[in-house]
Amino acid sequence: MSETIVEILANCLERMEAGASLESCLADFPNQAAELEPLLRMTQQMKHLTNVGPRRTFARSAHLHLENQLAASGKDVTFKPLNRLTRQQPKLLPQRKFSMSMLQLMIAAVLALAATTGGAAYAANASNPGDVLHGLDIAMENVQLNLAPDVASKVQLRLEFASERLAEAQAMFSENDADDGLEALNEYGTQISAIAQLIGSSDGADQEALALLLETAQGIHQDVLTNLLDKVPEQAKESIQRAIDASNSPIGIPEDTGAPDGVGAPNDAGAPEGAGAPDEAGPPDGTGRPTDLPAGPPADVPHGPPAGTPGGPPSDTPDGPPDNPPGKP
Amino acid sequence: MNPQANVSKLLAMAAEGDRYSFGEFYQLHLNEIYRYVLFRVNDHNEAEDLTAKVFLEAWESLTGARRGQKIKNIRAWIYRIARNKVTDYHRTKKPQEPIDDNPDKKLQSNWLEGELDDLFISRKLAQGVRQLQANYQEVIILRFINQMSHAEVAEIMNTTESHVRVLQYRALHKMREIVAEVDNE
Repeated sequence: MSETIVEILANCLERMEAGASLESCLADFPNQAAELEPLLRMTQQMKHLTNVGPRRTFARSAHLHLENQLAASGKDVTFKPLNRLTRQQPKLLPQRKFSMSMLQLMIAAVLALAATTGGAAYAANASNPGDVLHGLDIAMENVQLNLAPDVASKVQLRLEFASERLAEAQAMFSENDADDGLEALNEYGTQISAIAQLIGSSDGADQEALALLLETAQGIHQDVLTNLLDKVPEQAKESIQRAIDASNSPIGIPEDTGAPDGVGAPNDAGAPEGAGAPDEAGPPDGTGRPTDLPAGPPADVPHGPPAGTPGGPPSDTPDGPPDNPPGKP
Repeated sequence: MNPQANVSKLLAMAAEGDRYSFGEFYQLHLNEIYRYVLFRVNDHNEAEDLTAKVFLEAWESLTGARRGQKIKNIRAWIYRIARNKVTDYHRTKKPQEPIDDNPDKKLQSNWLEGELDDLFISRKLAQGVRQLQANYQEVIILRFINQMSHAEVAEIMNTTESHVRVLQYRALHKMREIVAEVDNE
């Protein structure tokens, strides 16, 4: 039974993949050679396209970035069970009970963070501010934030990112890179401010639990900042001190529960606005960072991360409504 | 130990929460997954973003709800995740349009031209791939750019080997037409 041209082509391709020459194949199928030859030559030419790969920066940083992300979503505190719970059972569980369950999970997350925040080794796996790859870290974080289904998950993620920024600041200051250290502190402040806003947009019981979580995390961060204070150049001390002072401030759950303005206000929220004073913490020129990070602490941080600034202060829902719409009670 | 077994071992360790093993797996497959995604979406930034999502989803799948699920063919598994991501991308971001019926598109500069200036023929071929309909495009990318077997392509595309052979034949003919048109322009 004669082979169809489809089968002959497939046959020739398999033979060539095994090392046979194009000519030998054409010789075996003289009646089809005219049709086969240009197709087979084209497949050979397509091998050039195998050289197309990721941009060098992406390829070089790839697995470090992934490791970083995986570290942030460690198996014991994976977000999946939490998210599934919130999606499937909110009506089955009393709100208060659910919030406490969430709180327990999230406190565990903070304790896990505490273990990593103190170590420069953790930061060594990440790209740091000033590194051309740092923008990719931020982009990956935004992907995670976009996938987070609810406020609690976003808060949990942002806490992890804040800890990561703090670890980066430690690493940068230990390398006497004050500019990038200050930039990391600035980004830390942005995360903390965004968390305060998220908390402001959450419901009563959840808000209380999340505020407590932030307070716990800030306690841990404060220890790190205090240790850092002794090791940084003069120019950075003031910024760090302001960050410490901000950590000492109450988180500020408003008396009128659910009033996001109060929670998000800079003084209440513990946002270390001083952590990145404009003159001190702007990204150094020429860092190659592919983002448009504001040169100082975003003036609008207490009112929400600016939308449409990829790589800048993160926006959780670039394609949708913000987490904390200004008018939300 | 054969490569598949090595990768299986890496993934087994990853499923136990060993993120460094998963990192190795990531490095092993990063380039080909990226290349597959890039040729399907034709944009570096989107390709990087989607590639990152592919591996995050793979990790979540390994360590999350589907943990313990037997993965018969690891390469096909990660490609299927990538394929779904690309499908979602086209569904949500770009309405399907018959690129091969849109001659103006052919002349627009694209991302590859800058990279392959010294490889004129590659540039033409890349343009050709870009203008194919989705299933032809997929067969060409998997078979001839990422150099996978008929069987592997069939598994990824969830079809039979004989159907892959038919698609391959038609896709190559279509490619040849497109490249000839580019030559004449």
